[in-house]
Amino acid sequence: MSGGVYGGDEVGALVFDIGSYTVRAGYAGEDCPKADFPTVIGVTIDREDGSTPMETDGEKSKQSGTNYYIDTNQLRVPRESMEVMSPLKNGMKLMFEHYNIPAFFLCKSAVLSAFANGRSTSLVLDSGATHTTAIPVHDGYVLQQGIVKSPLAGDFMSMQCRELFQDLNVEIIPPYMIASKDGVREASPASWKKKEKLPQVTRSWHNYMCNCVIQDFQASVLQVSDSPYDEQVAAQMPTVHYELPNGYNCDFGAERLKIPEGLFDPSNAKGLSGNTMLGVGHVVTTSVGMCDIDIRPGLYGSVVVTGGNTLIQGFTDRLNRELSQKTPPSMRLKLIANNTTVERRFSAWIGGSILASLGTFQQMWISKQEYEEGGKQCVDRKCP
Amino acid sequence: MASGVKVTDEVIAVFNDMKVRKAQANEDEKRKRKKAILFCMSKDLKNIVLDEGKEILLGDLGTTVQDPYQHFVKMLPPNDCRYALYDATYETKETKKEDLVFIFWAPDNAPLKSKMIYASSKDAIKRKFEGIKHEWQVNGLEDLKDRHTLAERLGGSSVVSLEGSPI
Repeated sequence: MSGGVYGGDEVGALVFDIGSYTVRAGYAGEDCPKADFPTVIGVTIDREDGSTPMETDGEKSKQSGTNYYIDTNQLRVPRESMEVMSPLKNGMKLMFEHYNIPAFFLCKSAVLSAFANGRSTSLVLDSGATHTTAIPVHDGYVLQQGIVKSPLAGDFMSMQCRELFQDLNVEIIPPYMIASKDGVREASPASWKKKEKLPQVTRSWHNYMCNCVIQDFQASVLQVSDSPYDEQVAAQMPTVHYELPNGYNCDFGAERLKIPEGLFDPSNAKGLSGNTMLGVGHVVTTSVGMCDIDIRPGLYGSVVVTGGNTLIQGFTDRLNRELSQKTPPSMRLKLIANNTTVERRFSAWIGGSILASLGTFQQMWISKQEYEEGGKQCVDRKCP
Repeated sequence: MASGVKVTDEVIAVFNDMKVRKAQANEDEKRKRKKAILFCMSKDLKNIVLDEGKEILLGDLGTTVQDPYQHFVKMLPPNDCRYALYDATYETKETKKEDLVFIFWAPDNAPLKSKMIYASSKDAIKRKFEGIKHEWQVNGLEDLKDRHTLAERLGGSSVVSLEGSPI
């Protein structure tokens, strides 16, 4: 029995959705990933001569004395010489050969997100940490030629936030360094005491912890204005108070709107060379424009918004506004944006979970035997 | 990308029946022909089957069913997904036509599992329905209620009447 139909209901499957910011992992059949942790590994390597370890890649670190730390709790403990890195995406080879799993299946996350919203034809706009991508899905298949990617996403905004703090002359101090802090008046320099006996941490780890502080600021303070940025309107925005771990606190008003504006209108954003970047609205319209004219109404009629970066307050309203201005008048525009955080960040995972738990799906797995016989081609064939 | 769900023979039989516009021998057979029918997942989620009782026969028109399209819309469950075949009769300025429309109904407030299964199995059922010219993905009542939307799908602006009533 080639291919092997695994005993329908008794199969347990694991579902992984590996992004550049977080990994979502869990058991098939559940409606939420059990594990949602940052896609970074902390690596310490004990070297006898005490030299600082260099960034090692996954394959080479079979040396003795290598320790890996993943997941938020473990990562945040300051350890000596712990480097932080993003794991390599090794895919199938690693899965079958290293971990000896019996069966595997790959799905495009855009297709899963579209399906999870009850659509087999849709334009999936995924705005995450590293990229904002528009992926047209038609009848369950991704139209490769229509995929448009832009680097303006979560990390870009983190960079802008960093620059904001630099301009304000405020140093980002991660919590691990702080022993105690005093309450200070708004916008006055922070007053805090450094922890004694801090281990010698690496630069990469320190940067990672600073990024965590900035990402928290980003998530709580930033807002997208619902019309193109205007100085006067922004000045009247209600301010939000935010306190950094070291005690520095400030009211943020216009900056709240200015920073995310770069996502939609990159022409004024700092740090971008030239005017070649596409704003989010343009990413969508370009992507649809690259597809056959007959399917465009179907795409505009189902724009699915996913990805953690889209959770910024005001993102979907602004996107809706931009797209309604840009779409041809004859086309209906419909934006589908799940309101719960869980669904928007995990829609691809949830789709995969449901699919993997279906009784009928069990015949679709690629078994280890098939992989050994067919190699990579069998994967391309079976996982469109 | 498919989910592996299978389409039962009775579904294919119904489709073939609706597709072929035979010159019906007698009135009786003509009355039994289907105007619209819904398909759903079997209880064990392994097959696509006929939705019991959810059909409109040609014989019903004029007696129990006045407006076939509105009756069809009412048949759709508000909180669950379905597939449907609707035999639309419409007129353009030149001719009178009848076309089969394949409808994928997935309302936004249906449970996620349902949406996922129906969406990933749509390919399977569509493949069995060879020769369908019109396909419609509907995600809410507002998309469906308006006869104009269906008329546009069928023939664009040249459609003058649908199911006997002018647009």
